[in-house]
Amino acid sequence: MDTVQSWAEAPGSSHAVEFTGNWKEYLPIALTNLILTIVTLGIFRFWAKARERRYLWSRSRLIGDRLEWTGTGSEMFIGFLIAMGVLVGSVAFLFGGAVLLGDWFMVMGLIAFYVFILWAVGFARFRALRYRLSRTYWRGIRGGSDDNGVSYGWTALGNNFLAILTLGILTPRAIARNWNDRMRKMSFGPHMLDSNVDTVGLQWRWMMLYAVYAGFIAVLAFTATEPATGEPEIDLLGFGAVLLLMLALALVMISFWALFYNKAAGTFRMGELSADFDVSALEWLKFYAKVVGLTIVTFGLGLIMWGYWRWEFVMDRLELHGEVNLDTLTQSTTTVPKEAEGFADAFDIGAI
Amino acid sequence: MVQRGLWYDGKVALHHEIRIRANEAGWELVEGDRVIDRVDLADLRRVDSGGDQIRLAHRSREGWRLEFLPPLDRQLVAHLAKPSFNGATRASIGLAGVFFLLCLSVLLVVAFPERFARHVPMSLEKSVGNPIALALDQRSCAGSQAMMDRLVDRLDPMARNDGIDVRLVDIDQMNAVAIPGNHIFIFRGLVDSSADVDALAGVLAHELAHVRRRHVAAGMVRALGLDLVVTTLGGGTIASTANNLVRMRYSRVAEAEADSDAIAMLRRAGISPLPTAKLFYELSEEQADTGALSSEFLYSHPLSSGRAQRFERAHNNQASYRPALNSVEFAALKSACESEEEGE
Repeated sequence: MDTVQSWAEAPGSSHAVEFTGNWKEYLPIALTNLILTIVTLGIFRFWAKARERRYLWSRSRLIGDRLEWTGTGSEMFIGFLIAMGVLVGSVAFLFGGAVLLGDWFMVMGLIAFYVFILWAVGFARFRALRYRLSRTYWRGIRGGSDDNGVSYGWTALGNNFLAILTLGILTPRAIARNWNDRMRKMSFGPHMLDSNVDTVGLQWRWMMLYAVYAGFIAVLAFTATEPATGEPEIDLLGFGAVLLLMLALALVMISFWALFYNKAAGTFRMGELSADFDVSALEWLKFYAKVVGLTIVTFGLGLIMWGYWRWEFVMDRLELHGEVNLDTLTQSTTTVPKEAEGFADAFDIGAI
Repeated sequence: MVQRGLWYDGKVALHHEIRIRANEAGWELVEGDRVIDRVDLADLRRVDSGGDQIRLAHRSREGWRLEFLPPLDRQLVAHLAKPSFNGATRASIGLAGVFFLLCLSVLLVVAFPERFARHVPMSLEKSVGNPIALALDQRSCAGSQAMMDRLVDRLDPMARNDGIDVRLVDIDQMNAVAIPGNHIFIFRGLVDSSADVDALAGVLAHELAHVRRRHVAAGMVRALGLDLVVTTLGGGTIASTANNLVRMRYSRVAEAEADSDAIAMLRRAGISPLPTAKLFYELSEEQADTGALSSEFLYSHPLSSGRAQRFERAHNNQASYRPALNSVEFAALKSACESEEEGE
């Protein structure tokens, strides 16, 4: 049996990444998810997420074999409860301590609490990624991490703090470093993942944001110094300028993230396997235009399809290169986390 | 027919193209001519997401997967449980369904109280009304009870037997109210201002009709709305409940029903409806004059001259009417609350 598979130049072979989903098949899942989430006052969203992923994963083929999502709604619900318990507990500790020990405890406690929150945001992202990998199976093999994410939380906090200190200028650095740090601590089977996103090109795209901010301040200053007579043409001009600036803001963000994901996929490594995601900002823009358009046309119902559309968009454009030595791709020995994406949910940063 | 499939052992990322051979003990997975694994059907569970996919996992072996390749052997597939909802999901969907139906029925009841009034249990009425009745009872004129009972017996002989409780209370308001839980309270103000005992009988008959027809239950549901759910679950305060009940109103249809029942009651009892008509005329004029609902009775029983006319038309010249209470009894009723005060 051929146990080494290669796709780079295999003539006539289908794409290494294939999405075989069908919106007609997904719509009933999305609709029942919506209804059940409403009637359970939101509690069902954990099960909804599990059903959504199970479908999307099962309709995605990597190098001929399907992905499989094994996460369940109950474990995500439990994870959420754990995270909420920790948050509520720490707030209770803070206020309880302030009542018993006085205001100095409150001040110290609040500082500690904010540091904890900053740390926990990184920690939550790490645990969410680790959880997703541990519940993703391909050819009976799963991913995971042996790292508990505690030290990652501190390095991410350092990067983010530096970005804050520099008024956001070093944000691309923080995003890229955090991404790389996270990926490098993950594995699939026995293989460690690798990522080397740099900020070349990202930094100046990010700096465009400041030009837009300057524009906002200019408009504000202009309208503020304007005489109170308030001629309507001037107001219309200001309104148009704000609208244009909002559009510019969206374009800058799209171009930033387009390049970021391009780099993230381009520098991804798993053993001999590498990836490509050459999607221009224009393509993203078209995608969002389509998604927003369909949502408006369907009076908002299209919102429930966003997860599907995004997954389809990414899967259709993601490419894999290189080869996988299947004989050495053995089962992961990483521990299986229990708290799921609880912290990410608690901080509301759970993507996908 | 032979079912083909892809098998992963969960140890290495190799896939094996196998055939499934079913026998008594379970399934044998055959690669070439070699049996590479055996599995008990009870150990398998579906992990696919429906459609035309069938993907099975082993309950105890991590990563062990068996995916069916088309075409599917229907007989083999028939042995497998349906996918996509596991136990917890099923349970939460069930719970959600129950919750949804509960919400729907509460909404229906609140939206159409008259339709469901006869299904409102008396125990619920009592749990809402009794605390208020108890509070009002503190001010009841004890000496009046014999006369009140006589009046009630005359209008509705079975009322007391059916647990309908009518009291005269020492409150200087021109009002009569039906409280959930089969309670009727006549306020002293109404007795004081009634020149004729038959008018008092007419108002009492009207209230008795509200109770008999379960308008009170409907009014309670409408007045309290979703608060009723809170009350049922043991929450809420008497004050807030009472406050809402004071503003309880009946529908037009309910008022008309109560009027015709009251007229029938008066006829059976041989009491003239004319004094009631006269009272209603006076009140409706007052309502028209002031434009405001000056008395509490008018608030909960909006009057029109039309209602007075119905009582007037019900008068039969041939009939021999006799007063609801004789003048001595009526005088005793009027002074019942005063004597109480004097006695204290």
